[in-house]
Amino acid sequence: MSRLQKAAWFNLAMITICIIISIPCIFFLARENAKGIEYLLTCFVMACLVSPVAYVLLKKKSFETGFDEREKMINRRAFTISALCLIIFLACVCTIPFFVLGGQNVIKVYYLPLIFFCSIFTAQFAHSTAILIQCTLEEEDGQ
Amino acid sequence: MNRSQEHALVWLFLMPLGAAIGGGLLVGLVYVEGPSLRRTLIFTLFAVWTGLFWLWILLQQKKRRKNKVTFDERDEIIHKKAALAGYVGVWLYFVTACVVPWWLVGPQGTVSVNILPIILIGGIIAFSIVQSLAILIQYGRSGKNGENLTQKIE
Repeated sequence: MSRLQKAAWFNLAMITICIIISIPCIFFLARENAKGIEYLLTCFVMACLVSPVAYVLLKKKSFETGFDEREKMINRRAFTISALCLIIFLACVCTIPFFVLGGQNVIKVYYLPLIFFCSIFTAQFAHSTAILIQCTLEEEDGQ
Repeated sequence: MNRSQEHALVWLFLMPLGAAIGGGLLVGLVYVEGPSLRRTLIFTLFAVWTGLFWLWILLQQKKRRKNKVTFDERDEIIHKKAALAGYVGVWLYFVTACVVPWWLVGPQGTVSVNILPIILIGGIIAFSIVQSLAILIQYGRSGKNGENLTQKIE
């Protein structure tokens, strides 16, 4: 298994774990009626602390540093596919409820962060799956 | 000003305007008249035909400039960086668009369903603005003939 494939599996596992943890947290916050600037500041401070630590621990070098030309090409193609999937997902998730419910209806506000987390998951899932499928196809062609 | 800069400048004003007018019209129509399958189909057909019209213009331009070199390595790097900047910009906008309503009305509150297409249209506008600005800034930084960026690439 190449480094790119390992990275794809790792990213897929990490995003799945993050989503599994995040969605119950959103429902918990919704049940507790978490509202106000203090929650927003807490999230901001946590993001400021976690992001640099995660960056230092998980991404010491650039993502593409150890990849050869073929892997770089696969990664770029996967990124394009992921961006396309994200656009299609967002277009569907934003327009379908609008046309189904009609403009004068309302939705619960906690659907918005849920849509956001689902978008992250969709983008990462499409990226990792595209990498794994391309690697498998190329290996089959090589054999 | 080269062709990419001209495109970025046109894109910077035309795309947000088009998205705002088209999206505003759609949201307003569904808000006033309610959802209707016939109108949805008409809107989809209109969007597809408009898309094909732009594609036709692009193909015509490509045919005319078949043998001319208008896009070099430096332009390609600038466009890739600008697209990446636009992608990051959209994510930042999207985080804000999802968190701010929660912060304003609380998780038990409700928001109009109109907010969903408005978020989508806002995303398109944010992407166009960030990408166009990134292109213009990079060309501005690289000097009149792109000497600085070419030196960096070398």
